[in-house]
Amino acid sequence: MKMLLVAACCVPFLAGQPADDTQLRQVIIFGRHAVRTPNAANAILNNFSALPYPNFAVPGLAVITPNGQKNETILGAYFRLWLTQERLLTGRDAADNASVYFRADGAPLIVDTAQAFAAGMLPSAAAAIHSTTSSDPLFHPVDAGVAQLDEPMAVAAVNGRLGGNPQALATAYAPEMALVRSVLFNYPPGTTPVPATPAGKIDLTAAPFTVTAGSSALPVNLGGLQNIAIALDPFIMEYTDGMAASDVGWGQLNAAAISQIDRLYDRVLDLEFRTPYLARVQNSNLASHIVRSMVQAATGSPVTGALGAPSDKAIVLTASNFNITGLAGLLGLEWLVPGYQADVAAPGGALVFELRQSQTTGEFIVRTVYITQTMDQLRNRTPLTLTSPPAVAPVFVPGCSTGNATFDCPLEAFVEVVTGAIDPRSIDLNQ
Amino acid sequence: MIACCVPVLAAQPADDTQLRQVIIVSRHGVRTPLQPNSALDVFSAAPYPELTDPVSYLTANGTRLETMLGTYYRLWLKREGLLTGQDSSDAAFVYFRALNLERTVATAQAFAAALLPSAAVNVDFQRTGSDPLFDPVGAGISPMDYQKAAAAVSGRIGNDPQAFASGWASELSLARATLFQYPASRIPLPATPAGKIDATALPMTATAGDPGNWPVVLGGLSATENAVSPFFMQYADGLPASAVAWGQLSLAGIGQTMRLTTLVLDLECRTPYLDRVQSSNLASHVVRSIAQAATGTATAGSLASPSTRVIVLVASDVNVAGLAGLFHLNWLVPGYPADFCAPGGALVFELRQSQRTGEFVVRASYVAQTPDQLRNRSAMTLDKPPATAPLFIPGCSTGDPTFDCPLADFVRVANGAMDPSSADLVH
Repeated sequence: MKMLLVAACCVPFLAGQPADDTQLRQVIIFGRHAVRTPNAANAILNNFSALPYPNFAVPGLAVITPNGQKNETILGAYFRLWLTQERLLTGRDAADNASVYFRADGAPLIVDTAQAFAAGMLPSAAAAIHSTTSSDPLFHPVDAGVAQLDEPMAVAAVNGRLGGNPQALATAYAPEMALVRSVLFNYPPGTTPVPATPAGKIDLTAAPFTVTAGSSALPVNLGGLQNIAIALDPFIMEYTDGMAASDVGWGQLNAAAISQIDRLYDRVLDLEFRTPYLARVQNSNLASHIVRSMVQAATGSPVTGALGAPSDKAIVLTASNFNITGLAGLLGLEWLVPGYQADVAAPGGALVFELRQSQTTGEFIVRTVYITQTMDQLRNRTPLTLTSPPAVAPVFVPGCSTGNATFDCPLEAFVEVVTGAIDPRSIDLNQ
Repeated sequence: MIACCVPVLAAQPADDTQLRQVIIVSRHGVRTPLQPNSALDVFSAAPYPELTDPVSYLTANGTRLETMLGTYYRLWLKREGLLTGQDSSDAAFVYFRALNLERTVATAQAFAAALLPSAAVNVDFQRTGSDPLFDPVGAGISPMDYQKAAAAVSGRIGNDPQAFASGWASELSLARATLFQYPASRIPLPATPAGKIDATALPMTATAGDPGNWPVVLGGLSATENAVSPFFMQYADGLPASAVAWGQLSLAGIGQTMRLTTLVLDLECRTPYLDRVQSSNLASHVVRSIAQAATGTATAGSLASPSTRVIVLVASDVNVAGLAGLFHLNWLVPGYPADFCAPGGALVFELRQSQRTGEFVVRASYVAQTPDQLRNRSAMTLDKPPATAPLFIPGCSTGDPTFDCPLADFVRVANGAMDPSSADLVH
């Protein structure tokens, strides 16, 4: 009987909140690159699958696809609408361009994403994308020499989340492991006895899971789990790129199954980038620059270690899912968007930090949201407007957000929380 | 592949530490469901198996399993030199405290009887009201802002609790198939049997709870979890396979439904705001008791006395998950989902001292019987131990194979994690 009352008691906790009197002063949009081709060549991937992986519309590894470009411009156009409504943009692109700072990780995929986003956000302006071909200390602080990663510590920090027994992940994720194998070897899930590995192919699900010293791309080497993630990675890209259903996981995966199978991929990101030691080393510099840029905008005075200028109204940072996962991990941010698993950094999806000011008290607050196109908005290249927006997940900032409907976080408390989370030895004070 | 997998243990200096004190924070043993079958049966096509013990009590096998666990700890602590084998003198250095429920007190009693079989060990528990250690909100030590609790959870899920339905679609459909007894992949989806409630179809929410219940009302997610959580207890209690989830689930299948339990606990106990409110007092007492043992000086807000060598705290999964969450501890034990709080499973904090330098370190682990050790009531020895997952304590553990954490750093990390206004300094 008690359960039947559940529906009646579901008054959203939004009810009865005071009106929002804040005005947006600055926004920092920290997005993942758009839909891309796989990171590994089909010649390699095809060792792991019964059937060959499909070709995307463009050649090359880890490059933005034409549809990825279109989706990113659609997303940029949505931000244009939203930021114009919020009066941060005026609609006069050339003038607005002077108060927008774009920074992209140096890979062509990411610079191209930023350009496609800018083409939607400021269509009549020639936006300058700041990037470097060497390791950007903002996104690769270890490679850039700004932060030091103690490799034995990294291995210990990950092992010590897994009981020192990474192989146990194979049983903990048994349903997903079985699904991966059935998709790669093209048989219905649940087939018994389990079909043998096709001749000449490698069964990735049989390779041991380990935690050993990593590389500059991944701080620890997870053995077989890492290779599974590489084999899975193309599926969501096939779906969101709009490939024919028969080419998405060889016709075996719908959106829900891609989401489920990707738990193995998500777990790799969690271990590599949200593990507290790793999150601190790899994301303190980015967090430091974000918070300093907000303080710079709030005070109107140049701050060392901030991005852009005090008058910048929008800062657009484009990087990879590991950067977004890592920054979120550092600050304890989480989200859930229908269709995706929890905390997934989707193609084009962004953590958005709004610096807002109360019109009555002058107080500055930070409001955080995660914004992303849903899997089907990407697949269908759905135009986005203020009335048909992308998915917007308001994010509670632990230790800072108040209990109001938009989880507002006073700027001063935000600075304190971020300062407490970052490792001061892993940052620089450069632009 | 093989050559690169040098275990992290290689070429480490020998462990010169001696165990000085151990604090075991345990969940109760295998129990009957928390609700009577009359309440559960509305969610299932077939009735839940009849119970031989009252609702929410430690089962007879649960008692046996706790005895086995106590026996194992006796062997381990004797080898470590913390127990001498002379029970009546050892009893003076052992402190038991249990949450004041039948299942937790009975668990502690069964464990104690095996740890010190020749001694009469007192299990301390609160006779009336809420124990501030395990229910600080109920005890009035720690105020909970329920509106903020709902916000803190809502802000982890995009303010859209219904999104659980897609995020955990495979678990929810397996739960429904099991409860309504059809093969999991059946299409079209069979209708809800007449007179029954489809727990998975109830609206999922994240609204303010109230004292005495979950801090946040999760609606259908919580109702579904409630309906499937007896399955693992049936398995662990050794019921015949046909009575475990009506014979429909293997251990792997049960493990998949158990993800809903870890999800609910994660939301209710590990969400940072909720964690600080609910677990700071327990963390405070644990860390102060460790400091008290290291200094040998009575410390306010610690448990037992400076000479106490073994502290056993028996409570609920809520407490184990919450304490772990406050320190950001994660574990994985074969057969369980990540971070699952198994019946009888415990966070174990060892206070160890280097024989060479005198330095104190804290070494943490999660110790639990595996699902099959529970189901088979496997006797445990030092050669056949329960599963032990060493825990890395973020911000404190060093990179050595046992993840040792210097005591001073442990105190610093604990102080940073706790909310001082949610802790008392009472014994």
